[in-house]
Amino acid sequence: MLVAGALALWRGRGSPVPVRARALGAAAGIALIAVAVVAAGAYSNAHAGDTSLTGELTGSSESGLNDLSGFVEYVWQFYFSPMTNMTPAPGEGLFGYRQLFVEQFLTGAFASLEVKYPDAVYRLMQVLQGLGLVVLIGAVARRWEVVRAHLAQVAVLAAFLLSLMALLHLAAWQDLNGPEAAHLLAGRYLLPVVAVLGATVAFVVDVLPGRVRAGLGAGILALAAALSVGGVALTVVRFDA
Amino acid sequence: MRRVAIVVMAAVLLVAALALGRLAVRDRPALEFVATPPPILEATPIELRRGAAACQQDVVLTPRSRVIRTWSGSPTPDVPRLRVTARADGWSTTALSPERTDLPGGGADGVYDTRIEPPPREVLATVCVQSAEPGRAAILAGSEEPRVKTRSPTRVDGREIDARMGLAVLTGGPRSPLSHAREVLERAAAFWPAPAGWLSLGLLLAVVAVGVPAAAVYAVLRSLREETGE
Repeated sequence: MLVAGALALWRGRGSPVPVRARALGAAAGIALIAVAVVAAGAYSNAHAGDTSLTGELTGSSESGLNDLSGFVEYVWQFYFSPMTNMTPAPGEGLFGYRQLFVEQFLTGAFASLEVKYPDAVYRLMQVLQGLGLVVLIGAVARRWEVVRAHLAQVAVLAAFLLSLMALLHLAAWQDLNGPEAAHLLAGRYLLPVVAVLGATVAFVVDVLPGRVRAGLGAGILALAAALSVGGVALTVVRFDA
Repeated sequence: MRRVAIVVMAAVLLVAALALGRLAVRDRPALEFVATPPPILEATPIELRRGAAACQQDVVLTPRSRVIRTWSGSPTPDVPRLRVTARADGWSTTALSPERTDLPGGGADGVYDTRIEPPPREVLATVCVQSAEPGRAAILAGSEEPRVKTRSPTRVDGREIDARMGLAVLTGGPRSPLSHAREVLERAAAFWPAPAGWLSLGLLLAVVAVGVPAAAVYAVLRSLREETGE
């Protein structure tokens, strides 16, 4: 909300409306959203118990947020190999970037994660995603003037992703510090940022030269279609038993 | 550009079609019933020392039931043979798991497939599993995961335990999903309200299987047409 308010002020800096009036308008907008969020949370807490909007944050362990260095180490190890002296996160089994982003979000795992693609498919998707990230960095560097011209839109898209991930990691850290040390995260929680992913892929594809652009764009769409149908087929075949 | 896009899409969709075809015709274990699913994420070992037996009640067995499948929870492939006993009103059978434990279904690969004499009629049986080798404990894979549901708890020597022993019934040799596609669809649509059923599910799947790739192809071709101004 603060990012949105700041962006609104920044974008409207050349308008004839006085600065004070714009600041008041932005503050009123943020306050309205804040009131709506608090009201929704209060109503949900009063009526939905542990499944309320804030249930994962308030219903879990109290110790999680008291250990901020542990939280930082947990987030680091979620994405990267542990550094020296880092303590492994509580809980059993490995759950990190590959499991969340590659297996459960980009590729898919179904029927409460019981039905999965062969591991080779996940490995391929991980390689493709890694290549995509490299190309994205190159695309940003090459088209920096375009990115800069649309910095406000980029900031909003980044805010969607970063705020969601921050909230999810916080809630997951709370659960990991609970009595069962349970993993909370699942790929479906990333569905709100599908549009961000789509916009990013479109930007990367658009940067590439003609034939490569056409081939890559077509390949990505065909792959998405194939994975969609494949997921349905795998799930139906599961009813074989 | 158009040709490149078409070639790439055709290649990706062809590979996907071949993979789907393989999924449909590849033989799989002919599971008849799953009394208790195997562990999903985390196995709880059920150790059966000398003479101890793990039992489950209300296991459906039919004249088609030929194999009782359980899962090994042993950390090593050096596993003992199992003795499986099934009892129902007026009927019982006892069988040993395969003599060679290192062959598929012998336990070393994590799966015990024990062939049984099927009952003459459909019965609700009590199935018990124990080590068949004196002095060697058997370790079976159980689960305490909430998502692993079962009709009856597992009892070891009559005492109920928290872990639920994975137990399934097979009809014998493997078969492909395509060979009994209607049965698969009927199971998938079991809880669909009438008049929807296996046929409407099958039609819906066909629409998805054709429609989703077709929509992707249409989107690419149309975007290329707009880009080139054709």
